Amino acid sequence: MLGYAARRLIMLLPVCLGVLVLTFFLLQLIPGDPAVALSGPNAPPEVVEELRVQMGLDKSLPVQFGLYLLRVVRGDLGVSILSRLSVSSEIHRVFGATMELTIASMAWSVPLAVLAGIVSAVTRGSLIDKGMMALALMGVSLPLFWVGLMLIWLLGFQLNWLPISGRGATWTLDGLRHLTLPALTLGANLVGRFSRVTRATVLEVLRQDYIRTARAKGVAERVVLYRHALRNAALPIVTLIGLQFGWLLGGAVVTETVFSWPGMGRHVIKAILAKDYPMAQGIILVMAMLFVLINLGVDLLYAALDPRVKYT
Amino acid sequence: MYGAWKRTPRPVLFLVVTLTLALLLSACGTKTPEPTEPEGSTPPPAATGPQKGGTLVLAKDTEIDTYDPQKTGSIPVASVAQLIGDGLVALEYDLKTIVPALAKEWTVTPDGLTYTFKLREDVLFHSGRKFTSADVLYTFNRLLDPKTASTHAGRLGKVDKMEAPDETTFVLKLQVPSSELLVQLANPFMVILDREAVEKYGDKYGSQYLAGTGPFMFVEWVPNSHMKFKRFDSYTWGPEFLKNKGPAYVDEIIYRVVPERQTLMMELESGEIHSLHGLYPAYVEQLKQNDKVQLIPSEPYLHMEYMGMKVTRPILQDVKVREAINYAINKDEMIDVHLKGLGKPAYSIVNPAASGYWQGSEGAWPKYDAAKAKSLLDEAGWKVGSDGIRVKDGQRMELVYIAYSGREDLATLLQAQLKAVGIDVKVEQMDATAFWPRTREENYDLYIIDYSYPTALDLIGLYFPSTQRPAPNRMGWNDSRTDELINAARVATTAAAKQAALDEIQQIVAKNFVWVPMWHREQYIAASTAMKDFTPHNFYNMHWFKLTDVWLDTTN
Repeated sequence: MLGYAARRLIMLLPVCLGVLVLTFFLLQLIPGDPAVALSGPNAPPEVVEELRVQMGLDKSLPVQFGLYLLRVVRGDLGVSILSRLSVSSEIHRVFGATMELTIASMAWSVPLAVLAGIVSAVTRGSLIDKGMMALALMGVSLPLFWVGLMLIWLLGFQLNWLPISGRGATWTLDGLRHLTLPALTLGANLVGRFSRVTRATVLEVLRQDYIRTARAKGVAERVVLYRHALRNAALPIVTLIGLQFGWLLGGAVVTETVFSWPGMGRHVIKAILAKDYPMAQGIILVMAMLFVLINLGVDLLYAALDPRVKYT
Repeated sequence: MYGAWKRTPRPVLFLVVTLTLALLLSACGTKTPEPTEPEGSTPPPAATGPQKGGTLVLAKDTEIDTYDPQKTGSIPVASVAQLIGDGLVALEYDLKTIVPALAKEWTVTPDGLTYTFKLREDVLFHSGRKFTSADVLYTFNRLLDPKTASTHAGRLGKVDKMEAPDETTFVLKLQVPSSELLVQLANPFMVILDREAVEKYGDKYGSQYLAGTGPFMFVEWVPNSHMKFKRFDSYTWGPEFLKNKGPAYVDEIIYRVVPERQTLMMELESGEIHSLHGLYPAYVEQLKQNDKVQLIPSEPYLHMEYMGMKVTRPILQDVKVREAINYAINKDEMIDVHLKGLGKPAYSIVNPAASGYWQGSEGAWPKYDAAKAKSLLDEAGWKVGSDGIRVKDGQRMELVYIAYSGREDLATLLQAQLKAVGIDVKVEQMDATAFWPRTREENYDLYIIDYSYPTALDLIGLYFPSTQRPAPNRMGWNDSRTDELINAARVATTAAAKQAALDEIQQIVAKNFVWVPMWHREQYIAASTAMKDFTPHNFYNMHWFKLTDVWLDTTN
């Protein structure tokens, strides 16, 4: 298994290179000029030209990319061509904000969703099942910005219980209060997704022969459910959680925007729109690496969950 | 493994309990419920005078790339520059009167070429170092250095040389006179920088640090989140039109970025944010209902929204066509839809309240008259084709209109109004970051943009000289007489000569229909009623100037 993990980690290198090549050249396809963006609409041509030189945009694309690659190989992600802030320190900052939000949303939504999915599956067809699945459907289909704005309106604006937007310091009561609404919003969507998959998977497993055999043996229903059904149902759920986790790292843009949360999603979108290529590439690179690592983690977890899965 | 699964419901329970607790805790932590007033009791007395202390929270909806005032023209940077620093001179709220700031007095030689500024002796930088003429010299040398790539370099005029003969004297010698040098020096971006801080931070000055002689000191900038400033306690040199010359009343200022407009409005209405930059017309009515928010009209608001027409393009080369388009635009309809009625149609290229306005403007620009537009197009040889679009020599009357996103209503109206007279408008809509570089190209016809300016010459000198092509002279207007007159207005040493030149330029532009002046916006600045003694400053639409007068009413 260690050998497998090591091989997968080595595979990270070509993945990173691919990501860098792709993002660099894709960024060139976006219209816009960072020199104009920085100097403003009314800047005289000589100012724009000087800035292009300072940003290194006067060099040919392969040269720009080569220089960038050389720096990255040395472990230097460079500086933003607009703000001149260090890309790695900016990533460090926004990564913290994003992880905080992702983990907080997962922390309440995953257990709740798994529980709801199991209850739904076990009580299939009952009012409880229908009610929970209706809620799950709402969670999945209501747009995040709408849910976010409604939560802000109710809990922040009308009742004044929680701050409307922004981020507080981590590990403080203020930080927790700022975190609650965005984590609720993002988590509501996740509960919907996870509980539906859990329900479907558990139902599928409950129809299997080994469950019938266990019941025929006279095994208690609780044991049938937890020992036999859930463990077999775990694989697809874990896969989905892993994928969602990766997706959240970059895909929480809407939630970040509604709640003025200074996370990676907003940061990368701004960098892409402004064609701030060192910043955009740095963040996308980190996101891609995390995605690969999370997938590796999920794969390794398979082996732990399912004795049939073996990596050599 | 089995055990782990068996325990699943417990963490759920734990989480539910913790989250509920967190909610409850937070509810306790915020506002105590308003006490019900016993009968006959009197409400607590409202604060009568300025109170010291508190955190003033300001907000805007987009982040800026750098706050180095010499390296950007972004409007929110203007107010930050004026919180952190001071200029040599300042412009009063009327946008006409120049008053001393870091320079306590100045003289100009009769030829208008040499300006001698006497500087204040009691001014300190945030570091505690004394401000001297060497800092002025350093600031302006940096501004003029091509490496700085500053868009503001031209504000100093054509500099011959600059000198600092002693600590409190700064001399600026020009090659040709500059009739608006003082207004340009009062520009919010022309603050004096702390040489030591700029040199220490290099190209990271503006993102990692900011320093100057202003009433507030830089604490931190967290991009996409907020900026934080704290009061500079030694500040006592605010310009004379401020009631409080310093130090400021509020302890600190937090300038937040709230990208979602609805969230921003809820923050404002709930009092979490005291004031915001750029209030969207759609929210004005809603805010009028809220007695915790004051809407302060921006007056004078020297702001111009216009539609530029590229005079070099095949169809728009003909002045008759440009005149017809001026008649075809129904500005009232656009103001109703796009600005929710908050504006007045413009019939001049400069606001009548601005110095340098040509009194003859009003009668010179067409008022909406679709019939007249049609007959002018007929006269120009454009005949209505089978599909309702005009044709001339086999060419369809098609114009390309470029726009930045968020103004779809305007594009739709423009399309409809010009279609009504037989012109087909192709709309190209894009993100602002793509829009501005696109305006530097040649292959489009129409665009609508706006500009905040202090004087007629500032606006005209930006948009109409032939040397300003391809941008900001996006119309491609190339007229030697206009160039001559702009130059004459710039070097004029008498007010009358300057006005005569400005009048003639405005006549030329009107006669040639280079623009369609669109409207003068009626703008409001929103502020919480807890934010007392706040007077917005409209120079460059910056809103917040120094803020030494502002105090927070905690009884509010």
